[in-house]
Amino acid sequence: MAEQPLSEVDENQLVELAKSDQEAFGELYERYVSRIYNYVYYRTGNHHDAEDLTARVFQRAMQHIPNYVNRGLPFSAWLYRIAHNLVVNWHRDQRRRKVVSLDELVLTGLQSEAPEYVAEHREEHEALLSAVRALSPERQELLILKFVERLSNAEIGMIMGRSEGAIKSLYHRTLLALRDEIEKQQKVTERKTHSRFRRRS
Amino acid sequence: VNKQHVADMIEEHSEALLRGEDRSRQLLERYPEVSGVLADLFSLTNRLYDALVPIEPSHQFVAELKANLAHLRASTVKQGFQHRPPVRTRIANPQRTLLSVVAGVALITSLVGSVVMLVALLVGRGRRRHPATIA
Repeated sequence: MAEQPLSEVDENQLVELAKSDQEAFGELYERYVSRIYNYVYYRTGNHHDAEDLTARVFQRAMQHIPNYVNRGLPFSAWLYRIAHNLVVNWHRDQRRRKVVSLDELVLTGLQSEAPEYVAEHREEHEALLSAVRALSPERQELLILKFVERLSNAEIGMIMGRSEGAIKSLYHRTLLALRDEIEKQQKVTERKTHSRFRRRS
Repeated sequence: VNKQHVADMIEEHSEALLRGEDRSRQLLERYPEVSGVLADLFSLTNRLYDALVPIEPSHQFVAELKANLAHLRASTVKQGFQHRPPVRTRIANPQRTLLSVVAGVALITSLVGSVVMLVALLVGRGRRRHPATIA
């Protein structure tokens, strides 16, 4: 009987194979690299760090996969945990360095549009993404998994270790918090514009 | 309409949006008493849907990282690191566990002995200073 190609192997079986077989690990990598990259990208806001952290996620995964134990959760939950921990450390380092640029992030997704559209929506996107990144890591994670990864509440629940109902109410609270954050940021911007105008006049 | 209902409607709207449908009008018509709050949150959801778009990492990055991982694994295997027992296994080694228990018992015994000696010494001093009181 012909051997089954790795691309058709079921995930649990593939993970077991990947513990000792680099080719199987390569297949796992192919399946998840984009998702992990997206996750890291939206949590960091730039391609450079997203690439660096994605590489570290898979290096760590490869190093620890022999000890991986299947507890009935999807393999992606384990990868997202690694990514989450690395992003948290990255943010800790960034706070020390105080260098965060949203420019690159804001322009992504708008590049294919007309320049007028980019100019018009740039500020709005910037405000929204900056407000998203001011939320707690848990809330950011939920929004990324929902909108970027397009996962259902049940899948998000498995990754975040919560029930489907808990994810639904967390999503509601997240939207309310995001709305408050946007208002808060708008007030700060208005105050700054106002004081700049007063100084000029 | 309570908090739970609002959460349910937001969920319904978001799920529809992610499927490519816009159900905001129907939902707002169904619950006019909370249409103000809902309209706000629906609009925010639409903005998130527009802003949080999936992106693709560059092909070059994906290919290079895959090659690097394969190289890293090959060099790790070459050095024999892969066969090193994981940390958890080493801790679970029965000889190591026995040694830790013996060391723990010895430590506790020596501590108790020191305390007993110290107390005996203090009592002895007290007797020498106040013989009458003790008698």
